[in-house]
Amino acid sequence: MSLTTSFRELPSQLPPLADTLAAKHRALLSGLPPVLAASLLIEISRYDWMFPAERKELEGQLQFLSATPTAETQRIVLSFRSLPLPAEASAAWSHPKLFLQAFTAHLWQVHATEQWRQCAEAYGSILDQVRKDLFVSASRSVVVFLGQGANKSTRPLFSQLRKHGTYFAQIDHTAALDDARAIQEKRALKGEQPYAHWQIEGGKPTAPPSTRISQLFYPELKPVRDVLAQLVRKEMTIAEMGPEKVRSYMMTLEPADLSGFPEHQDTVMRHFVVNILCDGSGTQNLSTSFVQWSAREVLRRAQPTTMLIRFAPRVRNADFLDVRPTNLALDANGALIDADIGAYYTWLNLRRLPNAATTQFIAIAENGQGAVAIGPGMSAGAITQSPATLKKIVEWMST
Amino acid sequence: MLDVPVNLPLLERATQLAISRRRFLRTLTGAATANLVVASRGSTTMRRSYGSKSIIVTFGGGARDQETFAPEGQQYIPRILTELIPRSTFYTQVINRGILGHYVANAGLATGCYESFNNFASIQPTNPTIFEYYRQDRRRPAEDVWVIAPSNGFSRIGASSHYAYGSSRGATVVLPKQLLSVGDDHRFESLLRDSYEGPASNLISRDPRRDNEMVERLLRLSMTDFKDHARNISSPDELSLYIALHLMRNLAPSLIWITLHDIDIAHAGAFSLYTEAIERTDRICAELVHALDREPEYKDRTNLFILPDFGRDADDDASGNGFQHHRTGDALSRTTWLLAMGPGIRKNTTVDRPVESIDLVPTLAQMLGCEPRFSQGRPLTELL
Repeated sequence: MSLTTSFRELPSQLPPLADTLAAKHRALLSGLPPVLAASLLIEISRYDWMFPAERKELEGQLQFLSATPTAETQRIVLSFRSLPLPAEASAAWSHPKLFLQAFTAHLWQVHATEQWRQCAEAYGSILDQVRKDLFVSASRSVVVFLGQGANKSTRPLFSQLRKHGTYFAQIDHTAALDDARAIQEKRALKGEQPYAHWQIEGGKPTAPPSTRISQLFYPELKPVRDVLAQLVRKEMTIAEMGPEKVRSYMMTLEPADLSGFPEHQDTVMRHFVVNILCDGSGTQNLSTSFVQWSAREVLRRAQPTTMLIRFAPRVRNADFLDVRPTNLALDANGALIDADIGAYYTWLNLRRLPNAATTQFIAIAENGQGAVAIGPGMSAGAITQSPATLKKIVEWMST
Repeated sequence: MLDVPVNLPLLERATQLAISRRRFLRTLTGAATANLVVASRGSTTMRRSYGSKSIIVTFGGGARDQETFAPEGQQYIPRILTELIPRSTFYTQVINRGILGHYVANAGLATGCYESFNNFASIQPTNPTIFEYYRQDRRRPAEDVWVIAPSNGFSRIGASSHYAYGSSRGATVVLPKQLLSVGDDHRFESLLRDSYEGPASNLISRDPRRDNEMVERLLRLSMTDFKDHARNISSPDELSLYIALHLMRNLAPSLIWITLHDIDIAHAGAFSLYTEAIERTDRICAELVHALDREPEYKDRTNLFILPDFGRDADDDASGNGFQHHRTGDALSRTTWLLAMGPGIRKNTTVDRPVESIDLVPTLAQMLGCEPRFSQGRPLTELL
């Protein structure tokens, strides 16, 4: 979709694969409205550290836009031109991050966020089309464990999820974790692309190391969080370093700026970890919000075939720069409530992926408050008192 | 989750949200359910008699329907539902079209204009505030108009930079956390967090540019009592409540504006901390109303407004992360509610027409007898 013949100046220091990709699509990028060009260039700049699924999606998006556009696609893309821009719009190509920051602030200032939302939502239909075109049929499975260390509560669990699946009131969860891991390991043996299988835990890792499964454990990342906290503390001593500037600063951080990463994490994983810890200005630093946010980002970016997540008790203090021992007491019952909504959000994010109807989703309470299963063979809104195990539920969903 | 399609234009979505809200309110028990009506001003031109005092409570950390008025949320606001709503006119659809940052949004509530400055900068509102309109037109002294604000960022909300008004006509702004942060006393650190928006564990500290001594002198507060109280509480908003009650008892100002902030802990992504804060806010609102009923200077003489500055992101918006933030600008994050009670204000009444958060100032101004010359809002006719 080349709308202009003059090439724009692109970012000068892109990583090697990103540089090649940008050069390949230079004509397209030069012709796009500035906001769209900047958004795509930011995605391209991350290309070297992307998971395979998101690389494919980005390539598909660029190809889709390069092809002769339908009238509807042309309308959607051109609608971005009507958005109010800050000064120095040419920075969209040379300094896309800075441009988008200025653009976002400008949108709020001129009260045009609704217009932006409408453009972005329309563009979402292009992304949906790209995803559909790329989708390779594969059944997906997500298992969520919650309630570790919590009392059995009188407050019902899974209130948001139950209406979409079957609630198992009498579940024997004693072997559930081992069974879930065994099922996942067996699936991972089929040898799919890297980052297709994930384990995310909020507590001390209990899963054995695996070369086939990408693992993310909250306690293992403490050294990274500590270094990050030191850097942020130092930045905050600078005059006029308000929350927005701290946020901008954190968005610039890369693995090379930090240290303490677990040895089993490769470069792609380390970039992912930095994104997780720095998105939202480090407000995802409680164990429960770390697990929920990581699961969301894994689903969105890696689009895994299987994912096993386990929530754990979190500290009561929500401030990651405050590390005094008196504030580090664990709150398992509060974490159960966090994890309950976290499980629901995980299902919502799972549902956004292609072929969601065939996906198996199971959330199981380790404090004896049952389990809920959503997917093939599971009636919506049903409650069963029949004894069950996780293994049995998986069998029922698979037949 | 609300069953409202995400691809509808903002106003249409907001209208559907209002319909949902009305339905939620009708699930209440007892007299409140029986007496709910859709209000309309009708053709009457009779002037009402309002209270001579006004208290405005804003939540500088919005709460969503799901955690308040929706059936699943009612557990968190029992006092607002059973004690306050039966005495109030309740607007189900208050839209904030401005910037969704707490300081700039509260400044917009106070000026009746969508302010456009950087939310994180220490800047006075551009347009005159209700405090200035009231003090100038009614010739009221500084100690008659107070703002109790949650963080350093709010320290300049009391008066605008407008050429015709300004600091000499503004409200006296008290930052309870700043009062507590004197010296090296570390016992109160858990109460002194300035913001929940970022990693900023910046503990609030005294701003040398502020005349804290003047504030303390006007406030006539025993710091010993204040600190004793602070030792027994777990939340900064309880400090604000303490100051509000102190003001009511000792100075009885005509206008008090309180911004509660605990709910914004939602930014940490912990649902339990967020709902705990809503429960606490519900209790604080009820305690304020109990104080209005108790204090002779305020009993039957006070207009009370309670409103969140805006909402939080919807679960079904893929660009957000549900309750955690308010960054998408979606309909749920822009649509909230307003509760008004006092002499001359209809009880047990809901209003479903869309209004805007900037409509507060012209409404208040009419009640207070001042002229909101630069406000862009429109008076809430159902209250006037």
